[in-house]
Amino acid sequence: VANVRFLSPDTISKPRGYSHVVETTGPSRIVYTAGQLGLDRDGKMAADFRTQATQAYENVKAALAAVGAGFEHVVKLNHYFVDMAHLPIMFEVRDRFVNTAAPPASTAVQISRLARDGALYEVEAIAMLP
Amino acid sequence: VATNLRFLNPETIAKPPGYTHVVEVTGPGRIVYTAGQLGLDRGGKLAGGPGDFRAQVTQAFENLQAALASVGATFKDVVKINNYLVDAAHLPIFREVRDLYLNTAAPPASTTVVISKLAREGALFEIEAVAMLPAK
Repeated sequence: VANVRFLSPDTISKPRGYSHVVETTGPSRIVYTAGQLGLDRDGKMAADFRTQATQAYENVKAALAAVGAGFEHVVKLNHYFVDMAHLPIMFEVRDRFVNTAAPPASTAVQISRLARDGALYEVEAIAMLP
Repeated sequence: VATNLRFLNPETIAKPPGYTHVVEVTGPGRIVYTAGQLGLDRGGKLAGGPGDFRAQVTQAFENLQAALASVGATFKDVVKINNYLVDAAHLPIFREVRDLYLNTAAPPASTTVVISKLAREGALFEIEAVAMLPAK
């Protein structure tokens, strides 16, 4: 993608699996996705954290695909955990979806609850397309 | 401030302390997203002793400044910040340090929430930013 640059300057400690800075040069299409939970098409919640996270990424992929985008266009991810202890599993799942050669910028926080009962993880994305 | 940015506080909303309610960007230009920055030094160590919020928030703003500098941006170009604190009691120190870095004449729009934990054990503060720059 020609109009997007992924940078991690050596003035900031090395990031794990994300980029510190993503610069996009317009004109371009900007795509915002809703936060995605581990819900299947019928609205049923996946059982454990790994399957919820996998389903959430599948949902982001489907959201992106709806506008002709893929994970290679994602410039930012925001992650919401009910339990930060799940972080290593999220890394594993995430790295099967994002472009690990030029990963998006990222923010992760632990919050006390998500909108859906039993939900353990939510992820939202911003993507840039020509 | 780049001419393609307008910082507005409509009088229909309560006056914001240290931020702006609405920032309007007119393209074309460059959009810059930063990752959330913690109070980690270049070696990946949390700034200050355990629980030193002021040291962490200062380092996080330094990191954000470095992130912006890597694309030729400064705090003047920042249109939105999101701030995450683990303890609302830290708000006064956050505001004090924030105002040392932001362009207080035209500060970005801002959201601040208290969350229960950050990705790094012992981390007390995280900030992420969106900046807008004229096209090169």
